[in-house]
Amino acid sequence: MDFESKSYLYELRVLDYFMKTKKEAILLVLLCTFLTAAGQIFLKIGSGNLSFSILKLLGNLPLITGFALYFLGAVILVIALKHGELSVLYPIIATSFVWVSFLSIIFLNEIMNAWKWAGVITIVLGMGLIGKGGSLG
Amino acid sequence: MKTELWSILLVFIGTIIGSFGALYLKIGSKDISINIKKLIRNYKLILGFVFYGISSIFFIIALTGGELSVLYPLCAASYIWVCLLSMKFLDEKMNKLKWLGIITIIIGIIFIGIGG
Repeated sequence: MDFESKSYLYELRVLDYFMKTKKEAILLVLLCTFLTAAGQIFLKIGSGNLSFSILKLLGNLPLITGFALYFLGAVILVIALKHGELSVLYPIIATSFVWVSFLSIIFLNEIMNAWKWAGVITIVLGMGLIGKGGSLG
Repeated sequence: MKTELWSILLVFIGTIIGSFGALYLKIGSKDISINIKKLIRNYKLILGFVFYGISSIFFIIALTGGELSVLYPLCAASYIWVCLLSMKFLDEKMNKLKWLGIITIIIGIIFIGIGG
């Protein structure tokens, strides 16, 4: 067995260890939704200072923070999705829409109305259905 | 802050591009390896990341013209495109629950549109 496939097997074993129970996958996805939601707030704040200068873009700390949080969330999501049940994890992913709504009220002074809340809840429901449908194959 | 129509359009275009990103990541993930050289030569995987990058640029520009609480939920549209692309290019099967989910998401997006 060459080194490459050995290290691959090792990686799988490490992942299996972390994913042994569904609870860990659920916690990972939940963490991912928090990171993604926080990332959105930073992206929105950073978008207020958008510029075509690369130097200014690199100096746009909220924007960079937003991308970093978003990327971290995506990496965690890929790990969790590899070993978790889709029907369980999809509705949890959808909660990021709920967190963004709350964070928008608190940090961006945006106003949520009944239509927006109805939309968020309906979207979460729809993602739950797709997740349920996906687990049926 | 009122959400501009062009912002909403940019988000939708971004979700379509991002869905192609997901499609290429899925195709590229078949040949995934820990070997860096092989990863760099996995053009489909790289194309997937590029599509994702472009879609996020669309999203950032869209954010300048509207509320996050309106524009972020619209990203759910990407789940609709991913379902349709998976059916067409990956031969994944659709079922009643998935269709019902897609219709529900569309209704949710319409609600957000009215609320915004």
